[in-house]
Amino acid sequence: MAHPWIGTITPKEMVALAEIKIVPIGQVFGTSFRSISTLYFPTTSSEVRNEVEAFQMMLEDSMNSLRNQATQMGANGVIDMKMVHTVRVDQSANGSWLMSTTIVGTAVSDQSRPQPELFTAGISANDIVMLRRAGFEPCGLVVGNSSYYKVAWRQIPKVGPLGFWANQEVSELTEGPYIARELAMTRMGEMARACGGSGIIGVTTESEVQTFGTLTAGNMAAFCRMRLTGTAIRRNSITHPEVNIQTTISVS
Amino acid sequence: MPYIQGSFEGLPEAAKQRLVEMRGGTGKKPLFTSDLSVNEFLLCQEAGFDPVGLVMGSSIYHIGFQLPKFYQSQEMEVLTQAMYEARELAMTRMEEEADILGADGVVGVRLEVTRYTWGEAMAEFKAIGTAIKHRAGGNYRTVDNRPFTSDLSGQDFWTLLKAGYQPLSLVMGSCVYHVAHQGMMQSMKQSGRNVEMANFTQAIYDARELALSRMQSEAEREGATGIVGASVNENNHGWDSHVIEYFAVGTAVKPIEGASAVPEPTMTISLND
Repeated sequence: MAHPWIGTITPKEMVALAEIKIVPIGQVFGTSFRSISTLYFPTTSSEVRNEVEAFQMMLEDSMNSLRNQATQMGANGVIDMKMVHTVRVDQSANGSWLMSTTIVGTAVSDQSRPQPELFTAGISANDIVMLRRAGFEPCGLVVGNSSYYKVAWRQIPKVGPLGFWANQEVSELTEGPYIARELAMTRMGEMARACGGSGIIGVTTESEVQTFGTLTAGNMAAFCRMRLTGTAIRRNSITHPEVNIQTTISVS
Repeated sequence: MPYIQGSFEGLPEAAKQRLVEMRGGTGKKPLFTSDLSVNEFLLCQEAGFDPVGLVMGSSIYHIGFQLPKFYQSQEMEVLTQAMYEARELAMTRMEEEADILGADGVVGVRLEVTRYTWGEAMAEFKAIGTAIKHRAGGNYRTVDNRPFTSDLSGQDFWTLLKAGYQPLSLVMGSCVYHVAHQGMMQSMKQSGRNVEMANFTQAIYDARELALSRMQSEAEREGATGIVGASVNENNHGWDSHVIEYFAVGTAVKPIEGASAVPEPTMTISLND
């Protein structure tokens, strides 16, 4: 007897998926853990490469694990994907950083999709149906990350004891999150281009800024983490646009 | 840093280069990014607009110091000025990014203020939204030729256009106000009695009115006939408990010339609970 499939989709979503010939197969996930002995902070403003590279390897490992599970199930797509990434100090190993990435999604068989490659998407089943009807299709979950270390030593004369009374932009610190975001956006864009996307929708941003030292002492630096997640899409050659939008008032 | 069309001085080089690449300017395939949901994306498309990129402006700002008079309700001008200037910096940078992308406007704009434990007098101000461009052209820019900005969602943006209005600008009014402490005698007189705290009520009224009137003035300068989705938010931002920011924000709109009548809505019974 076949095992029942498990999926995160609701009954309504299942009905909607059936209409566009997509059948849920089962829940799939990929997880990766990695330990970084020390975060090497440079003396000048630059990326913290060992953390960036560790994240990219974890992303690749967990995505590969998820893809393998889906392929073994006979799926050619994974939808409704969610990613959880954590970074914490490893209490059991003195000073180490423990990072983990887990990605969960619902594997599906898209019977109208002739090509054998597996597509991934961070959007829900309802959104897939809407996109398909409008003539688009998802082609990949895309992620961009950056960990950037920005020193703000030249700020001392402006925000020293005299500057305490004045409104002013701390421009050197502003640059930190900006550069981190640019690096993450560029990486996410490259990932979307690589999977054939012409655009990315539903981008979510997670950012964190930690600092060391103080501005008044003139030894301040900011450590900026930025992570962006979205779904790459492209025009669909299979179906024709068919979306009927009406203004409605719900009676619920 | 006021907005000057064609000036991108607030943006780092990497941002300028990436935005040019997104338009296909350096031989790369054009690519748009967006934080719109699928429904919002499709509604913008149906309204004739294509998303061209996720745009953001940010500023880490040192907020100056002002000593309030303990028993006096008063506006904290230094703090109000800081909240205005830092938001303006973030908005201007976001608009500059939209300009590089050749956008007509930015929808779904979110203004965020984050205080960090490490920076006692510092805050990060961010403006984030999706830049869009009309496929058929048309003039959607503001009176001073900025891209239009709006905090409306994709659904509200579509409905607004269908109703015959166009967004002009995200308008805001801020007022940081010190609410006077009560004197000892006044506190004793009120002890055990139901009584209105007249000085508190008055102070909050004054602060809210200042924020609303400033937002309204911005809308008038834009040539708007109204403001939709207006809200007034209170926030303390970690100051003394008697210091509050009233922040009014909304989207200034005007009617589209020659627009057709609002389509009659259809009533539906939702299958949702």
